[in-house]
Amino acid sequence: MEMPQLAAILEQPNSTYSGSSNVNSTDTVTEHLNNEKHNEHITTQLRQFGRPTLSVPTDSEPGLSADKKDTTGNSSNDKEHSDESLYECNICLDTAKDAVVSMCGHLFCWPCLHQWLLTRPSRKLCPVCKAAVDRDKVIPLYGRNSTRQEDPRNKVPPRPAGHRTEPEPVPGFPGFGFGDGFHMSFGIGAFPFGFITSSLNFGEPRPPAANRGTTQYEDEQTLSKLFLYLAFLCIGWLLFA
Amino acid sequence: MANMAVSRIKREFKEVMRSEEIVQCSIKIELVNDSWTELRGEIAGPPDTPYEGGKFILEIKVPETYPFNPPKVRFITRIWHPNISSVTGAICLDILKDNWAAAMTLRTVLLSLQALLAAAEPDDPQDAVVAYQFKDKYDLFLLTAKHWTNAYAGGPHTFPDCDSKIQRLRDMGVDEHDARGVLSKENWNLEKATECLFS
Repeated sequence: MEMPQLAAILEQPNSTYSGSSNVNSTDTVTEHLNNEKHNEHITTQLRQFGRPTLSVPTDSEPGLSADKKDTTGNSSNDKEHSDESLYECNICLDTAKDAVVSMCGHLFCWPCLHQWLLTRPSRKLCPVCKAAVDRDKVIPLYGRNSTRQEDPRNKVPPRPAGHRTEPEPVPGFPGFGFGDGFHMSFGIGAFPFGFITSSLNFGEPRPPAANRGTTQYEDEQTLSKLFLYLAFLCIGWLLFA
Repeated sequence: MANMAVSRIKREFKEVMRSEEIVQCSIKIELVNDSWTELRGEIAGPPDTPYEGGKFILEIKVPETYPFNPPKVRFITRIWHPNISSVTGAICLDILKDNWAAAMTLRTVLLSLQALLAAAEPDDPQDAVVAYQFKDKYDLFLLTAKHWTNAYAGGPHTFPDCDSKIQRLRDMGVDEHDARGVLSKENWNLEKATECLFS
């Protein structure tokens, strides 16, 4: 019964969900709720839906403390630390920014992992478990509220994209050209090869046919019929001559 | 990048301070200067090894490229171990060279060094003389290592025989550390040691 309420709040146009700060958005949601139990439930939901950072102002949210794991000690500092360390980059030990996760399941900031891969180009191993890692074998993580959905791998590495230029077309038999938009090539050869040459046209693709009804279409139809008769004539001549 | 090295070292420093090992007094870490580029580590000799009861001081230098490159670590406390130079304290340990990984921390480095003290690798030595003694005359190696632990790291085992031989050489004007080094190398044979020193 609590889910529809959550959805309703999230759909409110005046919420700051499109804003930049996660903290603000959480505050907005919590302001709409008077019932503390609902408060707890929704903040739990928000946490489960992949918030990118856990910089939640825990002091101002009484419901959140129930959701925290008590693993290390009794003081609130310890609890906060154990909870946040789950989302720490394994290289800079800070909360992961532009987070990516390796196939072996280890979390990194993409800038950190990229730098690590650059440091040892010949041995691309996971800094934690030494499994193979590569640029294409990491998964970017997108939190629900992250405004920029860009793949972090595209942002940070100043990696130049490859420049590929098409080779110049080799000058050769130009084919039969009839002005713009009409292209036809026609091969003449000994009987069985004649079909092959005319049906397999390598090289430049044919331009699309003109739209039905236009004068160009009429012209093309006439010309194609003309050439068809000409082809039959040639084949007949070859067969009976 | 230097900023990253410093911020990471600060975090690691806290991690060591919070760790269980600090409670057990098995590892320790302290700052040498304010720039966080040089630290001093301390590890306790592991139990059931000739290093038991000793405290070994380490020099840790953090490069600008840390954590992408390993910290430079060497023993300040003299130690008799196949993988540690008895002269310079240089360490032969793969994770401080090619097998370094960016997720390793000061804590894991100190614990790895402690493990190295417990499990020497004489086939991949840093100090060939020590490694030879380890493989060839293991009893003498244990004695020498315990003696060095006592002399430099505050270990509990004393060896009056070793001390008297060192004293004999000192009486001839030889420096104490040189005398200990040569005697250890020559398997505590005083004649050979004297020959080696004065020939």
